[in-house]
Amino acid sequence: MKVIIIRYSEIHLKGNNRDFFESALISNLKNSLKKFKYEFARSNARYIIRNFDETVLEEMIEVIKNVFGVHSLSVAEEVETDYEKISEAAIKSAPSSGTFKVSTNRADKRFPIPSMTLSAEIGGKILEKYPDLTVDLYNPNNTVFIDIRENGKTFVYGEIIKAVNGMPVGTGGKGIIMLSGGIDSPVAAYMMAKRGMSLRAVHFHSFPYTSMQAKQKVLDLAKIIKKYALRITVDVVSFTEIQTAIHEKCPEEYMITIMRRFMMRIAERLARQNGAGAVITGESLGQVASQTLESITSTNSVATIPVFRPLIGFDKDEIIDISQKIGAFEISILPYEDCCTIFLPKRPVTKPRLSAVEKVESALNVEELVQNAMSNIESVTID
Amino acid sequence: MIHYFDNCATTRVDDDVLRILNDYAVEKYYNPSARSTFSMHVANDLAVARENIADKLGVSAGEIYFTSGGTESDNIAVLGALRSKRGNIVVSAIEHSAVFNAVKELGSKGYEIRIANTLTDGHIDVEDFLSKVDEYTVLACFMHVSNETGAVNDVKSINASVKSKNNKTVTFSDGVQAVGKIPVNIRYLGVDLYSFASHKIHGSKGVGCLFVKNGVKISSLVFGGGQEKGLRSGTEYVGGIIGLAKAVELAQKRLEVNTADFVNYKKVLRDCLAGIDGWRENCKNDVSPAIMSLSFQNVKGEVLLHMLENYDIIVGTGSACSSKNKQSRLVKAIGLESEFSEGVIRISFSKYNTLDEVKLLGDKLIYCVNDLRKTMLGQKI
Repeated sequence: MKVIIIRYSEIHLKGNNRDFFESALISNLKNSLKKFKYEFARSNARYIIRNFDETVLEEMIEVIKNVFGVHSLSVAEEVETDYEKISEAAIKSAPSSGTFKVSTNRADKRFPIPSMTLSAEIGGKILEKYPDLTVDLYNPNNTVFIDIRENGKTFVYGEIIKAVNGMPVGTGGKGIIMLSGGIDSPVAAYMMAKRGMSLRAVHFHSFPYTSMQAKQKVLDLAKIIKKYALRITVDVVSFTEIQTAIHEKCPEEYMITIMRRFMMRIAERLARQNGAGAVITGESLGQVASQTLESITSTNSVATIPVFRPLIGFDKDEIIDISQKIGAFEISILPYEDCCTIFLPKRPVTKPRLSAVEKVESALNVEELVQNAMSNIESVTID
Repeated sequence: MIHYFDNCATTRVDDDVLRILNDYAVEKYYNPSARSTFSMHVANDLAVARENIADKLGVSAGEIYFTSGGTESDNIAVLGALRSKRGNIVVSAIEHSAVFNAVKELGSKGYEIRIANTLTDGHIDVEDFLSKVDEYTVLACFMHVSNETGAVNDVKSINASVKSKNNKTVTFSDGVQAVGKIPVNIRYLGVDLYSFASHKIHGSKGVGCLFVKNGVKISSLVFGGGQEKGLRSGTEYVGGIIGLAKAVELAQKRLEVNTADFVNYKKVLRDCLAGIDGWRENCKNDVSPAIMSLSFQNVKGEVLLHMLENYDIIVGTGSACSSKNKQSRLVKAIGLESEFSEGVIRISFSKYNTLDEVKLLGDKLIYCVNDLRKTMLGQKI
């Protein structure tokens, strides 16, 4: 019978917390696999999936591979621990050309043939079947694994498929990701989900200055993030009043800095409302005027909870690579106005002094504007 | 109620057309190529539709081919018409993307692409166009009505001039914004190829038409069961095609009334807008009555469009995409000064518009433009 063996990553390092991490991983796996029918079993340091429909095997692998916390997986033949059955399965799992070796793990010491001997004998049988193969014990192209379990069953498989690693989502606290619709923020969300963070997103929307398509684009990006973060709700904040107020009352060159300070304040309040402990942004040092150290200082100074910037040391190319890998890029580059471009000053300040920013901002009734924005939020849960 | 002024983008399906679509979807749904008598009746209906359309456009039924829409018609025309492996293609700068990008594709295959200038109101610069035609010109593309400004080109005269310079040049005019909106007799125009689409004239999406003049050879891009004399295989969208015949018929019947109405609508809007400064009508002469392209100084067209949405008014932007690097080819071609170039909107009428709606549009336009200008040029400390 074909089974899927799932191995998990760093979790086993967590000592007493292991149960917490494992139950999160299992629940995430089951959640991701809910459209499939299968049986799930825990075995030591791995999970076994049995009795699934083989026509959806590839689809299931694709899903499992992308669950954070999974280190690798294999599709194995599970057979009775019986010499003939093992060798038959091993021949099936073997490559037909190139170099190979057989690696045996004998957890069940009642099986009479020692590991080394069994590997050599099965290797011989594989060679008889495929004369083009060569044995290479040190650096083979392929390895046929034989895993003799204590329950009288043996797993035989020829491939270890690498998965995303990371930590199970839900084990790393909760963060509010500021989702703009560009390339960077979905990648930042992915990076934090990879470290086990649950996510909620905030998007600032300025209808009619930005279109409903721009908002839809963000929801489409959230759908991509959900694949990895498993659950996500987007708080769409109407930002028009704040933007026009800043535009009216503050010098043009401070537009972006002050806008970002408002966004940060609102994100932090949303974090507190929703039990989140951090704000996440897609900033990368020096990428644009609002991402210089001075600009980040101005934005950061209104936050009292940690602000995570997982892309801070990344080049644009590196960010684009991840964006493509997670399937967000095509959506991110759709050309709609976002709230940062419409009032874009010709010459933004690149090194704003905090004291100057605060002085400029004092022309606004910050608290009232933030409260109005907080009472005008549409929350969209992505399903 | 929605006040729809984006009829260049697409139109509401006419109730009579809808009945036809429905009829051929649930009752006479038989495949016209199958052998039963029921199928034969459907095939006959299809033939009648073809004849009716040909008749309305002054051509013969054998010259009419049905496709999946304007884009496919344009692509077949551009990509299927070439007989020689080299030469140049002359194309106007304002062609629809379905033509322009198909021509660009030929550029990558070794043909020389010559792009003719546009006058400031969106008309083709005929002199420039003709100067680019020579003995090696294999294809000339000049659209009938600009989808962005409504400029109506003198297709008959351009065609005659091209042919007199090189009578082997295949001539193609995209008539998507012309058929049903201005008088069109393809035989009179004289072009070799002419395209149009059903959904621009209250027919359904997914149906288009390509006229191929008798004697002009054109090759297929789609292979299969040999429908449409092998030019465009695939089971016909029967309801859509018969609906198209109905749509053409209805449009022609109403053409005079529509024209009078739309000319009046434009006048009403001009009178309304006389109250504000900093706007221009991008094309005033030789223009389709159905299209009015306007530019407003210091206003972003897309933002204006979204503001009008708040009043259930739908207009189009002059350019499909005004954002970032993607300045419209048209805006570039007609050279709008930069403070006007972002503020283009396109208003396009249909028979469903009323005078009251047009007045509402005028009022709200003024209100939104003033409001936007106030915000965008807002008071500074």
